[in-house]
Amino acid sequence: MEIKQIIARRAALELEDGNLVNLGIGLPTLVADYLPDGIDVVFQSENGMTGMGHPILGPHNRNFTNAGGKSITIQPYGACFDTVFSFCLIRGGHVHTSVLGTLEVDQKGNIANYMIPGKYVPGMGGAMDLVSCH
Amino acid sequence: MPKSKLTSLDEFKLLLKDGMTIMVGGNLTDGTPEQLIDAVVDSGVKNLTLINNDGGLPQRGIGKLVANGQVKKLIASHIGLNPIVDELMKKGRLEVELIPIGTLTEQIRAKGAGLGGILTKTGLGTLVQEWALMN
Repeated sequence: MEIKQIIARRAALELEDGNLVNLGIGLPTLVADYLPDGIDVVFQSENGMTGMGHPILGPHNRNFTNAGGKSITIQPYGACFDTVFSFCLIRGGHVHTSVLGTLEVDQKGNIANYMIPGKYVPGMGGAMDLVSCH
Repeated sequence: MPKSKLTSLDEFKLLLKDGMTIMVGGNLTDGTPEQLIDAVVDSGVKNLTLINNDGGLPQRGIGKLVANGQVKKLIASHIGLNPIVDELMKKGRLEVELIPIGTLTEQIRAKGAGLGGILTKTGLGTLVQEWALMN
């Protein structure tokens, strides 16, 4: 197993049955592949969807994409809404678990997420809202 | 009989002016009206301020305007997927204001809804708080 899969599988152990879960772009999306037995969760895509399904292969579908721009499916129970409402779910504390990518983590769980000063400035996207409800 | 919501591209182009601020929909170019972006590129208007979720992609969405040198300032939450934004920013040819996407969308909604502002915890204790005070 590659290191990314090991990390994703370990992160998936943090999910509890019935959680609303936000997966960040990149490695966190692999967590969906490692749900433990008996654990059912609903995945949120921060751009405006609950009931996010797996990324799809094949031609890009502009109508259903995750926050990272990848085409995805939607579960039968899923819902689409605008980004304002999506961040009401996030900022209002209705998302139980976030799996976030980061540039650096310290021993207290603070993360460096959006900038290496002078070198790399990807921007924070939804990450600051995702950590703000704690 | 209400007026039609439809207009022509030619009428749209008449609205474009140098230095104007344009808010553009789309997430990493999905949902961005490419035909309208092309019209803005064709018009040649410059010194634009753009508001978008992100920096687009190098030759798609608002990325076309950035690559064409028509943008003075970009207000967005995430620019890491457009290296041209990064390059122009580092050369001092593009000003970028980064705002957490939850805050940016609520700012837009609040203004449109006639509210004086919003209170949010997001970004407290980070550079984002200082930037917000500066603006």
